[in-house]
Amino acid sequence: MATQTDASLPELTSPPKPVFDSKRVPGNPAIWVGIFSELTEFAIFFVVYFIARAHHPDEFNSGPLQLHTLAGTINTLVLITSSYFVVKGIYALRADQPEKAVRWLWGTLACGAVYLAIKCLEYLWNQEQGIQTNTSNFFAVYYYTTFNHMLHVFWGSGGILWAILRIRSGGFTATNHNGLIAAACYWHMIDLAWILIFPLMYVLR
Amino acid sequence: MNVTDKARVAGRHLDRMWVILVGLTVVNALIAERAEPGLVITLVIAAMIVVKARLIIDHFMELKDASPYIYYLITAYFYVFSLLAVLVWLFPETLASWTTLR
Repeated sequence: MATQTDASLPELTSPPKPVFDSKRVPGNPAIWVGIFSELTEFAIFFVVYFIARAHHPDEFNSGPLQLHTLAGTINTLVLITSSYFVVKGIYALRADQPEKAVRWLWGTLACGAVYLAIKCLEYLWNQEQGIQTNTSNFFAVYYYTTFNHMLHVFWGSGGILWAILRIRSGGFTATNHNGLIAAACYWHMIDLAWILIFPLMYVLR
Repeated sequence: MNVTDKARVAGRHLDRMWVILVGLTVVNALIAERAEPGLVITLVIAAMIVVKARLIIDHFMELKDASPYIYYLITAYFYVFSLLAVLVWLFPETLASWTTLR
């Protein structure tokens, strides 16, 4: 069997090179319009959080202590792991291993399902503790932000499922998989939003 | 280096990034459970937001060699909100006065 050389492997990357290519838009331009729109939406939530926090410091100091920190932590780990699985899937496809890529992406979908299940259980646990959307300003912001984020995980999972089906049908290959990159970038954005939400809601007092 | 070796090196790099992200998340959780609120803790939390975001942006999203507009915009997002978290912790009354309807 012939051995491929470095020259034939432009797409299979190791650590990224710090050389900008101003024309390289991962995935496609449309997905980045979507990603920055979503980040703007989350930015509005964060600004509301900061303003509400400034006006109601006691509620925002005591609020995180009433939340289920373990649920938030596990969900953070689940999302980080899902992002890791996505990029492993991309690497596998670049190495022309579509079956392996699909397995990694199923792992991402499983993480998405676990995240949604934990979030639902957390909301039920909150309800048992008497925590509602109108319990305090902190919990109003918490519910608006985390429920919105949960919806993004739900439809982001749809994007990953679509990528899996495209790989299985031969639509995405080792050299042609921009759609997978776009779905992956959207998924990473969901993870990035949670990287801000988790410390603001569960940790910062 | 052939395709298999190169994939293995790239895979190990990703594994390391995942381990670091998991470690930072566990530290965050310990802070949430045990640390008393304070400026130092707030600074640590803000720094960890930036580090985690950079790890994902640079290594998982591979934006470091993409369009600088995308890279700097998405990176700045996390610097700005981390800084805001610290500023709001330091000067809550100022922000409250700026955002009070009269």
